[in-house]
Amino acid sequence: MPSPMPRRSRRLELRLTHDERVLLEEAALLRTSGDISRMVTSIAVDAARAIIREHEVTEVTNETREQFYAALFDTAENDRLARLFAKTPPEGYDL
Amino acid sequence: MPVEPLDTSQHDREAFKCGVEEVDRYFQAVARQAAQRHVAQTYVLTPPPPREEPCEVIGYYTLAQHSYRDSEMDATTARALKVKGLAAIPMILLGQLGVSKAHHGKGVGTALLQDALRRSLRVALTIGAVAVVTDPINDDAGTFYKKRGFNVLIAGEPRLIVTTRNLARYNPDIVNRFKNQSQPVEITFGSQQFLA
Repeated sequence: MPSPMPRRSRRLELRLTHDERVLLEEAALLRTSGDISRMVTSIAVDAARAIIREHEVTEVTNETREQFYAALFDTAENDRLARLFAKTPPEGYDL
Repeated sequence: MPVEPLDTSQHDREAFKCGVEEVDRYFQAVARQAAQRHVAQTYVLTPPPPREEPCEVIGYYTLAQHSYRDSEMDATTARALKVKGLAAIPMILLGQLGVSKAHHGKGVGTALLQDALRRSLRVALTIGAVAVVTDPINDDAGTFYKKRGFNVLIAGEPRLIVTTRNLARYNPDIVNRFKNQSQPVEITFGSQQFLA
């Protein structure tokens, strides 16, 4: 059973130029049936997640330390990685 | 240049559709700003010349610096990792990778991943990074990376890892070129340049 949508009760006001507003309305018609709020929220939340991930510093904890260093110091050969680098670029692409 | 840094004056961002909305949105709304602020660099694959302007984007990937912090790291571990500080462990984050729907099923994603990892190895040799990590956006993406050599970092968590040691093992040409260069070589990482 799908989880219920979270209730959106917080407001965020934006000041826009006329052109920006028109642009958002056009995009919202294409993507969210004209619902500007839903479109802007969706895009902003995705972008915010990506930005935070890029700035993130991840902590090694007591629970993760053993696995973390086991992965870093793993000296085993990796056949799947070897196959990846043995592949030639697909034809017709400038790679 | 086959794979080049994103240049919004030349590359058509709006037309890019890979089938995963979040990956499209990043490319259209975030990639340029992230590059301008030097927090992440996006590289794009375009068709061979002659090309039109704006130019079609066949696929893209994004690389960023990332680090782990272990406040209890001991000196032995720091020496083994060859890291300067006791607490900081530098890595590279493969933040995004997407291929336009029109080019699915042709091996472009695999080729872009290969390019991203070889570029990451050059950066790791230049400024130091012990691994490349990525957070797959869905199960299909996770399967894609695992089939191509990524391993789960922590059981039960989505993050995947490939070590610089293994990247070096399977790319001796890059390592040898790096070791044998007699003059400093300028390495470009997005808009940043390093002498190595």
